[in-house]
Amino acid sequence: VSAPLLLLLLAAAADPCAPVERTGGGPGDPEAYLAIGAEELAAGSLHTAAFAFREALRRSPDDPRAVAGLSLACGRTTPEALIAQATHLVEASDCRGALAMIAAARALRPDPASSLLEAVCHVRVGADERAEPLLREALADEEAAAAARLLLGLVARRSSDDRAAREWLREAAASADPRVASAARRLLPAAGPDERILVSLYSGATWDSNALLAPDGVALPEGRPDGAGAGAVTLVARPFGRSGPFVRAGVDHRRHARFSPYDILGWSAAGGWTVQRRRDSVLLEYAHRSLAMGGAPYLDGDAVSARGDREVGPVWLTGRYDWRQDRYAPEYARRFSGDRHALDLRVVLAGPRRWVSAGYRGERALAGGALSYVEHGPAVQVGVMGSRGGRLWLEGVFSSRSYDERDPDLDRRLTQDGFEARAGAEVVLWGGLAAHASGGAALVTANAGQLSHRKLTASLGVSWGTAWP
Amino acid sequence: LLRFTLLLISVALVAPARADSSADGHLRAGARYFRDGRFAEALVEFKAAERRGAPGARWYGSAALVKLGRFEEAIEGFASAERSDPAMGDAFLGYYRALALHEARLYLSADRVFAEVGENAGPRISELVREVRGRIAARLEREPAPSSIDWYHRRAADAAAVGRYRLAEALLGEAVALAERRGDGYRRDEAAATLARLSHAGTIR
Repeated sequence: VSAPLLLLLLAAAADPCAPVERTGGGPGDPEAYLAIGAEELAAGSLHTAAFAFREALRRSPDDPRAVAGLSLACGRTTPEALIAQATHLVEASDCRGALAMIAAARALRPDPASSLLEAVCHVRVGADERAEPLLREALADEEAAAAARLLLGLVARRSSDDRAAREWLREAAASADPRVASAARRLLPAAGPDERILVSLYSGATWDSNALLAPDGVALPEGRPDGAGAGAVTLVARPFGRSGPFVRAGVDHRRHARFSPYDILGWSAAGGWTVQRRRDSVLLEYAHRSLAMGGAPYLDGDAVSARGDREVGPVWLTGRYDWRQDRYAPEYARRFSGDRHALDLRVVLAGPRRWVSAGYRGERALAGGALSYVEHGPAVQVGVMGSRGGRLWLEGVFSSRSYDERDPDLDRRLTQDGFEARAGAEVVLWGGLAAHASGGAALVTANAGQLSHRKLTASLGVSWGTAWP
Repeated sequence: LLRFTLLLISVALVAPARADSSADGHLRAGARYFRDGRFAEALVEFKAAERRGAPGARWYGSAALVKLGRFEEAIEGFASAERSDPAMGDAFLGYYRALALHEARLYLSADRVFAEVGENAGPRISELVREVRGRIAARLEREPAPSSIDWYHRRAADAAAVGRYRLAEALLGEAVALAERRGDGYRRDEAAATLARLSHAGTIR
């Protein structure tokens, strides 16, 4: 080999932008070199990036990402030109080629418009989880924001998050861009209306292996298996839709097959305020409830509930506080009257089709005499959602209860530990008609042996709901 | 022992190495490029080795960054390597680390690392170390000016703002050390407090 040729060859070996010899691929993983190339582009080190893309190209000679990256690193194209090319490819439905060019351009110069273009490709191939963060980036760009909202609405709708879908699509429908606004208006009805009046009916049957418990959950000696029929009607009015003030009223009835003196007829009324946003919600409610048992007044109660949830990274944090004041009318039950405070905190990891929640619940009951107690324990729930709105869940709850004072009848301070496992299923039959089934088993051990008990429950029911407008 | 030197020697002994896609293969390819002065290619191969979990690859990649004049990235790379792979550092790599610190104007930090390198990296490097330490001593003879300390604070704030916490830590560490050389400890407590916050942020990232 002549000296000038040798020098030329040596120069080519050190020049990352020299033509790449087609050796049919080399050893190693092109993906690693592509990632390093993108990293180096992002660091502004074009020379090193070119070597990385060159190595990727040697291993995968036709990889469009390596071609685009090398062209950019070697100054043969610009990020703007790559984005323009990618736009044409997206229009021609070649998302693979477009993504390669967008990735190279974004590595060197990330901007919201290219985020939107990349997101369009991900949405087209159904990779919504990759599209969403890019669409959120695109919101920062005035020109890209309207289309980003439209796509965020579409992505939310596909993941059955109707609330978020409606909000994104409403914002997109108000856009100055007529094409975006028109598309958003077409999609809005499919995201579900924001109903103002809701009515629901429930009818079902329950069975309980130990039907009678004292009002505070302690087993009564006369408890035996019994079945009951149950029905409920609930009406909710919320003049401003999901977010805003609401009132609720309901009537419920339970009729026992065996213990007819314990048949219940109750009504409740509540009012409150909810604030629902994409990533969090808050609810504050006051409720009054009144129950008649065996045709005679039994219980009057007031309750205040505060609930909140918030999305934090991959999980939802939910919290609920309830205060309840129960006033029992019959002489024998009056000693159970008093205040109850309950706090329930949970972490929920929810995917499109399944969820897992874990949390802790505590309750403080302040009733007269020896009936005040503290109860607390963890709870875990797992569930799956069906494609047509059905769902199946399993739950385990452990609780430990300790009474404040000695019970004069038992001659000791009562403590109870309980474990309850529950499972439930819902199937949407048609429109607002759904079938529900659930079952549970509870095991309670107490330091007064006669109050330890086991309990099995089952229920089967049908619900129907409708809403206006 | 000088692992990096040994790595270079092993390359010399087996060269031309057969193409190898394993972590060691990338590491050897990187060392070969490094030996030939082709530092960009060396960096790419060391990064590929790091992705495959090769021990020491981050140290070597950081040395390549020094050779490429990317001193601040090298400082971050060495800091990260020290946390994730502390046993792989040696005097030779320490010398490169000290050079990166010196070129990024972190003189006191550089001097500390040069002192650790001392006579351990062979006679030629030891002589260079003595020379650079002499220059640093002359530069730091006078009490550091407040404006000089302010510069480190400013640079650290800029680095932290873009998520470069390890670089910010290094800059604030220098600010603390400089403040301690002044009678009034100018902005020392402020730097130490920010450093504590950033150390936590840097650790969790």
